[in-house]
Amino acid sequence: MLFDFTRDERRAIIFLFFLVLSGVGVSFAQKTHGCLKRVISPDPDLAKINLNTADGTLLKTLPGVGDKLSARLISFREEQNGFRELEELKKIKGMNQAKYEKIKACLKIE
Amino acid sequence: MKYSMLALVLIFSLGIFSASIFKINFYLVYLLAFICLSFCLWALKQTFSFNLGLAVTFFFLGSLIYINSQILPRNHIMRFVKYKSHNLCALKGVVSSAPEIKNGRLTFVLESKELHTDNLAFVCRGKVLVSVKGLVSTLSYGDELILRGKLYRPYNFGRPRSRSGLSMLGIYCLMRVDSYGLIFLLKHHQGNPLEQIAASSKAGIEKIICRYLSPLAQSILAAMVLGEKTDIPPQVNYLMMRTGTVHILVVSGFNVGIVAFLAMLVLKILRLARKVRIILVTIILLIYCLATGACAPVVRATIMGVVLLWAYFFKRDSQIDCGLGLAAILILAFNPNQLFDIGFQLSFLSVYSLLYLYPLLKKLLRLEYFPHKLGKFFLESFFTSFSAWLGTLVPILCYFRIFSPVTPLANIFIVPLATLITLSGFSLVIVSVVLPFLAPTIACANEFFIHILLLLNTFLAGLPGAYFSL
Repeated sequence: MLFDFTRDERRAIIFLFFLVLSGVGVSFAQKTHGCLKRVISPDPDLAKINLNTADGTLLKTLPGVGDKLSARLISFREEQNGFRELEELKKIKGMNQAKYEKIKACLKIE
Repeated sequence: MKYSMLALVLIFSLGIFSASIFKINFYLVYLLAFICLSFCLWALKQTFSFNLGLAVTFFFLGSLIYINSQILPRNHIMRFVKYKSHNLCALKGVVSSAPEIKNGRLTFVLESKELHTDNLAFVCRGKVLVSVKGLVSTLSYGDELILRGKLYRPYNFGRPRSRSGLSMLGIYCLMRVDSYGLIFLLKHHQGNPLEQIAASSKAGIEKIICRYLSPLAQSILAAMVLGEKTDIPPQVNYLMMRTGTVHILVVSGFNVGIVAFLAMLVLKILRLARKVRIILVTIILLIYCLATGACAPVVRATIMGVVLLWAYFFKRDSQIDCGLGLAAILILAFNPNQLFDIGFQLSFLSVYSLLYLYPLLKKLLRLEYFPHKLGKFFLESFFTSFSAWLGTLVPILCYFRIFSPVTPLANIFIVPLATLITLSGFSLVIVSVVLPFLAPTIACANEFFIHILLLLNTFLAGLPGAYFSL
C-alpha cells in the first residue's frame, strides 16, 4: 500500500485539499473577474454602521459618542428625514472635526 | 450518579451566592464547616447521612472561599494607594499581559513587586493596569520594569466587592506613565515559562493572520482562533448579538477540541506513544488556554478536555458531566466572583443545556425514530441549537435585554460555517509555518468563508421579527 493513512489522517488530508481547492477557485475568480471581488471577499461596507437605521446602542459603540450625542444624532435624523451625506454630521452639536474624522470610516449612508 | 456533579456545582454556587448576599461571619461558617466534616466522619458507613454532610460542607466551603476572596492581602498594592494621588511614585514589577495599543496609549498589566513613594519603600503584590503615553513598544510579557508615574484608584472603583470588569480580573489600581522614557527595563523573561510560550505563540499567530488577510477578515479570524475581540467592528458584533451567534467570536470548547484534535493528529503522524501524546496534548491545551486569555469558556473546555484525555490515559470511562462539574468548581474556587460573570454563566448554562435538556427534548419528540435521514439531521441540529438558546434565554434577557427568535435558526447555518472558518484559520496558521507557499491560497478561501458568514448574518438579522430589543 502506497498510502496507509488512518481515518483521522484521511479526513485531515481531504479537508486540506478542500481548502486549497476553494482558495485556488477564489483566487482565480478574483484575478480573472475583477467585478467579483465584492462577491467573494469580505465587503468592508458590511462592517459599517448605517447612520439612517442605527439605534442608540449601536451609535454609542462609536468612539467619542455617548448618551447625549447619540440622542442628538437620532433626533437630527428624525428632523431631517434621514442623513443624505456623512458631512451633515458636523451640523450636530458636540460633533467636532476631530471626532468626525475618527468615526467617519465606521459609517455609511443607505 | 448522573446528576451528582451538577448538584455539587449548584450547592457550591449557592454557598458563594449566599455569602455575597448575607453578611456572614467567617469564624462561624468555618466552625460549622468543621462540624459538618466531623459529621461526615461519624457517618462514614451511612451513604445518605455522609452525602448530606458532604453537601452541607460543600455549601459552607463555597461561602468561606467567597468571604476569603473579598479580603485583600496585607501587602496588596491597593492598601498603599489613595483614591486621588498627584504624587509621582516608582513601581517595580513584571509585565503579566501582552502590551496592547489602545486609543493612542500603550496598556499592559503589571504584577507589582515594590513601591517607592514619599521616600518610603514597600514590598507589595497585586496587579496594576498601566497606561503609557506613546505608541512605540519594545515591551513584552515577562519583562521586569521600574515605572515612574501616577498610581491611583478612581472613585468607587477597585473595591473587591465591586463587579466591574477590572476588579473581576483582580485589578484594583491604575498607573499613568506620561512618557515611554519613564520606563526602565531591568530583565527579560521573568514571567511564568508556560505563559511566556503562550504569549509568544499568540503574537506569532496574530502576525500570520495579519500578513495574509484583509483587516475585516483579520478581526473576525483573530476572534475565532484567539478570542481577540478588540478589533471586531461594532456593527458586526451588534448584529451577531441580535442573531444570538456572537458566541462564535469567542474561543470555546469547540476551539479547544480542534486544537486537541490537530495536536493529537500531528503527534500520531510522528508515531509517538499514546501516553507521550496525551502528556504533550495536555501541555499544548494549557498553552492555548493561556494564549487566549484563560477566560471562563476556555478554562471550562480545557479542564473538560484534560479530564477526558487523562481518563483515556488511565483507560477509565470518561464522563462529560464530571469534567464539566469539576471545571465549574475549580473556576469558582480560584475566583468565586466568576459566578456573577455573564461569560461564565452563559458558558456553563449552554453546555448543561446541551447535556441535559437536549436528550430530554430528543426523547420527548422521538427524534430518533424520524424516518428521513436529512430531515432527522436538520431537526437534531435545530433542537441542539434550541436547547442552548432555551438554557441561556433568561440571562440574555436580563443582561442584554434582547429576545431573538431567530437564534435557533441562525445557529443551524452559522455554526457549521464558523466551524469551517475556525478549522481553515488553524490550517492557515499551520500551513504558513510548514508550507508557506500555500498560505495565500488558504487565506483566499478564508476570506471567502468569512464573507459568506457576514452576508448570512446580515440577512438573518434583517428577517422580520428576527429580534426584539426590550
